[in-house]
Amino acid sequence: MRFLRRRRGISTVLGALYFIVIALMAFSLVMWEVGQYDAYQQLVNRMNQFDIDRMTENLVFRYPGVEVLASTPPYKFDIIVCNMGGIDINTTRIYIYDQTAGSMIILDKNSPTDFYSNGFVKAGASGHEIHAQSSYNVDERTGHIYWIKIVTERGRTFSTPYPLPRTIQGPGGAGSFIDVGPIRILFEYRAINYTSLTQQTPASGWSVPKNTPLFFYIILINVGTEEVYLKKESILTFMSYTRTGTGSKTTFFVLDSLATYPDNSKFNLGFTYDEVNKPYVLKPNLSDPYTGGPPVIVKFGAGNLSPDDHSVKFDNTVDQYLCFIGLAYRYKGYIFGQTIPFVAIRVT
Amino acid sequence: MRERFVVEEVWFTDAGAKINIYVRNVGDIDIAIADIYINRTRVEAAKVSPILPLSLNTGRVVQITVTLSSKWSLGSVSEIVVATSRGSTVRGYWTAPA
Repeated sequence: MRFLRRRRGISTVLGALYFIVIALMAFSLVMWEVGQYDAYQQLVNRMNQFDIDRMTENLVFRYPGVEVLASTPPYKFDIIVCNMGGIDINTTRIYIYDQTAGSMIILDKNSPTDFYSNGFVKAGASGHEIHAQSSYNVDERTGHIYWIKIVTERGRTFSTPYPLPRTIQGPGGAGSFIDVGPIRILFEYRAINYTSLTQQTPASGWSVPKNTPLFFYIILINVGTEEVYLKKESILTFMSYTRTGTGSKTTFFVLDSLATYPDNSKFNLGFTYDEVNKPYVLKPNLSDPYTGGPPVIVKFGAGNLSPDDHSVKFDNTVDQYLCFIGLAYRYKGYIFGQTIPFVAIRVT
Repeated sequence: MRERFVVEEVWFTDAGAKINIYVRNVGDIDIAIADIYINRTRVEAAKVSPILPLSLNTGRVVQITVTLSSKWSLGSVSEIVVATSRGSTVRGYWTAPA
């Protein structure tokens, strides 16, 4: 009886131990599940926060978009941005697509040839300059239209056409303009540029050389609601302040968009404006017509409507000239023509 | 859950014969790009360079070149889908130069 009582005592102890072990195992299982769920929840929260941060990013390009620092290789320029998103942004790559030439360059932080620095943009930064250097010329004075796309570390992309659409009042009084019909003509320092055989990169056209073949570049913007197609009769004409007769009036007809500078050894039909197959097309900004579509640089330098004269020049007299723009274009299926008083320039 | 990747840029090139797709892994873990779909058609493996599946470490970007069986036309819009081996997809619509 004593022995039996002992055995019963042992089994009671073992039963208690088994119960404790089972209880501990159950507790451990619950704790493990709680731990797993907690880890999962932390991951969900972290990724949600990542997505929120990503959506919070907001990079805005600021006028003029690009400041050119060096116009010869290696080309240097600053891309001007503002961080409006309330969160720091680290950029990882910049794509620049030259729409006119159909080519693309990629700027990486560590690339030996095409690279950029100062790509970390603090929250609230305004006018932040991303310093870029490239083997490719990114300059609106070339007459090309570019698309600049900045990629951030979180995977957002922010892009803009360059030249930027001009705002109504740009910084430094840069926003003056003339609106006639669907066309806006800018009046600012860069409103008129020229090239010549010795000035192959567009330079400010407020003062130009006499007795030298010239190409003029001006900027047009569509503030209408449909595309504007420029016709070959479009001209830039200059009239002397003081003189009449021969040499007092000089007219430059519109050129092909790929024309660069007047060079007698390179004159060919490639400069001739083809209004049917390759016209200047001014695109509207349908979401905000008043701001206008992307600026288009239109070039003038042909002597007439025929393709044989691309060497227009002022005569050999120092003088002051009034400049008028004569535009012929198709808009909403109709042909329009208009004359706009533009600038006054010095020929020296 | 931890996969995040983006198509940064698509460049229509080579006179209509090719499309370059730039994919970046911005997620927490490495991914493997398994397939490319253009206009809802899976691109054959032989027409993709580099060969898929393609491992892409976190933070890295890769250029994937797709050789098209029929050339893209000016101004045309293409739907491009990039899929990973875990089943995540990124979809976008891209316009060829006009």
